[in-house]
Amino acid sequence: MAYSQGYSPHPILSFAAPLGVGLTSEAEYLDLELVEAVEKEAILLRLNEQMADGMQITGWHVLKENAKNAMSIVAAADYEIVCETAWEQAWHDFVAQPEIIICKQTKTKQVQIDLAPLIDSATISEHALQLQLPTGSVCNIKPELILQSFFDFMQQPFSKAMTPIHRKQLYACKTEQEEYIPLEFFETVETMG
Amino acid sequence: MSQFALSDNILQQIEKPARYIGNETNVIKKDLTQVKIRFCMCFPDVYEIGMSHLGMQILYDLLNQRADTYCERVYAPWVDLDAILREQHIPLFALESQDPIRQFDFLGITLQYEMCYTNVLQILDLSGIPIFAKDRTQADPIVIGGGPCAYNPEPIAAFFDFFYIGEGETAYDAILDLYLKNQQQNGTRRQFLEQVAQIEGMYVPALYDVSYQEDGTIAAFTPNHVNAKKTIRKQVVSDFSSVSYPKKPLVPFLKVTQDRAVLEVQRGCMRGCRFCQAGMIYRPLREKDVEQLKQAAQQILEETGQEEISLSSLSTSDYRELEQFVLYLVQFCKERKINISLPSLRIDAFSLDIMSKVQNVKKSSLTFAPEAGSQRLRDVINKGLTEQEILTGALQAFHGGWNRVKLYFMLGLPTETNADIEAIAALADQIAKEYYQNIPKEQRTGRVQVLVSTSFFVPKPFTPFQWVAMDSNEMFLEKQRYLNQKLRQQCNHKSLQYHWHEAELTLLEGVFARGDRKLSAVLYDAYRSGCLYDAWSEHFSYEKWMAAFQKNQIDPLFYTSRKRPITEILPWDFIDIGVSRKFLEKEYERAQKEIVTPNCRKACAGCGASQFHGGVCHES
Repeated sequence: MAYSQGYSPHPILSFAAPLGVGLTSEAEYLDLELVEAVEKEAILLRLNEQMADGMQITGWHVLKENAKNAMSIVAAADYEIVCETAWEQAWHDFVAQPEIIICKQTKTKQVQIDLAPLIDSATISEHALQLQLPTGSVCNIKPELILQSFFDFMQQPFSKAMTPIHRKQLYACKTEQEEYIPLEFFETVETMG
Repeated sequence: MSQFALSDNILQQIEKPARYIGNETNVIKKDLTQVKIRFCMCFPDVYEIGMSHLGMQILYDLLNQRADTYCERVYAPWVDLDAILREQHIPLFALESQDPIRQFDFLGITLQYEMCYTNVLQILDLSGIPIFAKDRTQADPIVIGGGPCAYNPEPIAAFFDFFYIGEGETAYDAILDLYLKNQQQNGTRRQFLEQVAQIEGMYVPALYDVSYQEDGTIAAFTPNHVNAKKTIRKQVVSDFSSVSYPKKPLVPFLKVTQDRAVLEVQRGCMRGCRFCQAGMIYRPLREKDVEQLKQAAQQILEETGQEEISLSSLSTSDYRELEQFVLYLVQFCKERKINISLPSLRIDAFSLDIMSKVQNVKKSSLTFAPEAGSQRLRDVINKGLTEQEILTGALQAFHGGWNRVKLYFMLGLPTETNADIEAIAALADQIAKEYYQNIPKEQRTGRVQVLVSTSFFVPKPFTPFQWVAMDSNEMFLEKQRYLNQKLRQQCNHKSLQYHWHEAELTLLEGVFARGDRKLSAVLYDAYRSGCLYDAWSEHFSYEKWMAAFQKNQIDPLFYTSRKRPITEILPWDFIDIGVSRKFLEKEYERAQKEIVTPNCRKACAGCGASQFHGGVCHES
């Protein structure tokens, strides 16, 4: 692995977006810088031998020279949330509101945020709610925030365990106007897996 | 479908659910159908504290080397989970299998400090194991206590089936073989305990009766069974270089207090500081072979991927091959970008040279432990350090680039006077002066920071001070105020800072350290009234504890404030730690005469540890 310079060198490693406690995911990404070329099949094998139970590295891509690190380019994420059929109508009413104001507690103060424009897209079917939300350093909306607000709207108590959340994809985009591109295709040169 | 004892619902509600799911790197998984003995090892504090304990890593690794035994772990559930377990009647479970502890053959609890005793009761309670040993049946695990507090097991004797006194690496094969044999013969729990009493170092409280005098002191400590030995001799590892050591220690998912690989370089201490229990009970000093250490370091770092390694011992400067070993380690670690941590070093030119080799980041603070402010008092406690050595060491550190110094002292040491306390302030000031007088302005990186930290002296069993009276809370607070005042009066007071400790918790530590069996009722009542996590300031309740003492009509000061006559029967007298009672008495006398006893390598003081045929007593 390559290490940073300076007093306390650390591996040059960047996780795209931290996953909240209790969520599952099929789209986790990390960037790694190596000092020498490694055999393609071998690296996957070596890494997976050390991975924790239940986690596997499914593939890797070579990034362009000078590509930005994963954490800095993440823009949005897709979430799939298990839900009950009974919520469908309530959800439609919830998103139909002109604004959805919540109080977000930051480290120093409480801020008021309007969630309505921040939900990039949302579809609900019989058993699942699909949400696409801004993610990353510019704007970060956790799915729990939306769900808490939704349950408040329904006047029901909310607990994370009631709504298993699964992250399905992470996106980057070149500029604000352009489309979201899944991280695995963003600025890559070569693909394996 | 969950593989965990706790449902997703519960895991989502509690703080740091990773504390309870196991599956860490290097965890041991065994096929239960192949296993004859299920052992659960317990550290009675929360996960992050327990996972920092080297002893448990050693025993976990050791016991799992037996094919017929599966050793798993349990730590105290935090207060949030504790409430849920009680509410929902979920029994406490081991991490590896997530099975209820009640199903195990053994529950081994390590006792590292007195203030975890309420957590011991919590573990038993939440496991569904009868808290008092006398109430347990064939179905319950055998509960074993070990660790430094087992050297005075009496306050908690009522809760344990037996205590393993001494080092854990030696006798478990004998204990477990005995257990299997007893099982094969359809022996009872009681029969097993009667037999285990015959193994050296094993103390079965039920086989002894204690009677008291009118004044509350012990009248007699008598075996009531033919197998109960009059004296219990500690277990000690004689060939320390070949003893088992974990090469694949567990690596937690959470950030734990000691977040690094640990390598024990030696055990025991030759300095003989008179207040120090660890120095006495772990005698004789035994070093590990340096080639073995090099191999172990390499293996451990490769198997864990840890980014920092720490060398552990009571006084690492005394390890004779330290320089050679550190040079090797620096080379090995530099290539791999691994940090090296070297606590417990004396401050002298040699150590400073070594420290500058390993401290690659900007220099943090340097710690000295003079323990007492005046030379007179340092001689009383046998902490040889002279003022000249301290000042020279400090100055060398300053020249080396350090500008932050921590000084550890104790208040309440025997024969202490106000002059001794004032000397602490004067010493701190002198150190600051050394900096300003000798380090030219251009080389300074700001003001020097001298941090004075005082704790309160607690007399411990098996030290020359085991008879002394401990200061009361009021006396401690008065001394703290006095020292604070003196520090403020110093010339360089702007460079001096003072950190002090809470007195109330220290009183309880003092009570249990030298307590007897009468305290078990107090402990039980304190636990029932809600005392838990006493070592954590946000949970400690002095009021509840005092209420428990009152309810049982026991005065805590009986254990702490009395100066005990040499003739008094002490609750721990039945244990033989190698170091003799005569030696402790002699050292107590020498302390009062302010006479220093040289370290083991300078001159043998005949403490008695040489009977174990190993270590520094028999160095060529």
